[in-house]
Amino acid sequence: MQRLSVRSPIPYPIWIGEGVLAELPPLEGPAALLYDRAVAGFAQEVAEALGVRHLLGLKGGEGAKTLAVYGEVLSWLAQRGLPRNTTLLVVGGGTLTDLGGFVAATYLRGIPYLAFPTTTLGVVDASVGGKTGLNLPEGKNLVGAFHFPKGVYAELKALRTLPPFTFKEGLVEAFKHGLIQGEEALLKVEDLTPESPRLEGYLAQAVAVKVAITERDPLEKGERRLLNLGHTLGHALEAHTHHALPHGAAVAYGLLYAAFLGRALGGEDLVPLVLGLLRWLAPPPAPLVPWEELLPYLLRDKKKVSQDLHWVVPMAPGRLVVQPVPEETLRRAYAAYEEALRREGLGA
Amino acid sequence: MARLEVPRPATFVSLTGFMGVGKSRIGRELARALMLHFIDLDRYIERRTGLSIPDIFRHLGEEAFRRMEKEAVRELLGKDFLVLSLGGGTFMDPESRRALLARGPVVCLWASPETILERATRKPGERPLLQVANPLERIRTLLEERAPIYREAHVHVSTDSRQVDEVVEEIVAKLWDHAKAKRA
Repeated sequence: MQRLSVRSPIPYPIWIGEGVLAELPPLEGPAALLYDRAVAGFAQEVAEALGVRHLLGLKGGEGAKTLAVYGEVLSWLAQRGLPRNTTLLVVGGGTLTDLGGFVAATYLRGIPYLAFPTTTLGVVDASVGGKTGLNLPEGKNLVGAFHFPKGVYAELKALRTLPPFTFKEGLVEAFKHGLIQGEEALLKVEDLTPESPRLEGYLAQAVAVKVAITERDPLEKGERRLLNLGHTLGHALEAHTHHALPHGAAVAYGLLYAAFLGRALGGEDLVPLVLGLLRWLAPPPAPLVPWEELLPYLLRDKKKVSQDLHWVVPMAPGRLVVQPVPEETLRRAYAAYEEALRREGLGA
Repeated sequence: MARLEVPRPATFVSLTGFMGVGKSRIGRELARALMLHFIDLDRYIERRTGLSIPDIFRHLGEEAFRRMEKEAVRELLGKDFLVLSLGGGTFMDPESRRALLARGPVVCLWASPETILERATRKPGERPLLQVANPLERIRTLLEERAPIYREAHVHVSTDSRQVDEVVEEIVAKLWDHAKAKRA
């Protein structure tokens, strides 16, 4: 079992391991439990461990992060007359903890909550940073609030029931953290499985990196922008495929492109390392679209890709630069990236 | 908003049907439409063994080919994000058939014996099972024999005198129906 401490802005523990429920503190007031129906069994264990009587099962996924579902959950709490000292327990993946966290941030102007992430992405990404929120029909994460949990309890047993790709997909973020911080162990994914004895330490290390970066730059002014590594092209690929390309796969392809950029800018050759990640991940194919077709997605509201768009470029593990890149370099790196995808049988 | 929840009706689709119905051609385009990888089983076996299918039949015999085919299917079932075009006889093996039907939707393509013969004679020598005196008769017999088994597939589409795009569109629509029916 691993215990990590988030110190600021509000201190709370993150437990990762087997049997984390034994570490739960006694609750002071009533409790309500919101869970993803896909992990109903584990939710039941949580409810029993804390003697919770109010349970609400939802369908996980982006569909949960809507105003309609949000309203339903609020009404459900209100109808039960649950008071301000109620603790909300949220059991599920990143989408459910985003929704549950936002419910907790706003019900009666804010109640405490505990997070029980049941996906690798939820553990690595959503358990740190305090971001909660919803999607609007106009776009993702357009509504939200910062609200920190009282504690995060990541049970490894729950991760073992994940579909194999979902398990791997979440760890792309951990690999990214390794590249940012220069943590060699996080870059070694080939032998990671839900049963692997390394998993607990691996997850803890990935979370620790995010905690460190977030604490050094709480307002997202500088260093935290490094967390965008791989996301610039990744988001463009996701949008271009109407999200048929899963987020983790898109970020992995974005990391490959970033590695080609680093090489072009005179950095260490990280391409083989990222290709190793992609071989292990076995993602759906990347769309091989002309650079011009990706430009609108890259730019969004910006005018020139060479002037306005800052790229996070890895020069070596632990050494990154954030800077505009000349369009010619971007294009040449893109051609090399496409060539590599074709060679690996990863393009479509 | 983009369809975030279920962006595609399935992540593993197999294509079956008699030789010459268009499994390889349609499979490649279906994979493109669903943004999935594409593998043609016969080409996969050829790459693995370094022998062409007619050569495997000629030198090692049909039985050896069926063994390789079964082995290849077992291997590919472990992959995801895949459209897999099977060989004409792959689906006849009960074990492979059960496993493929359990793994994801199986699409069966259909064509008339005349269409099949016309397509087969375009590539003479590549269809070892049709090296007989009366190939049309042979196709009719085999098709009749195999039809009850092909019917076990989840989705059925005819490719007779139709454009590839049109067939792919119909398959995608039927795969969505299949996915919805399964969820309900």
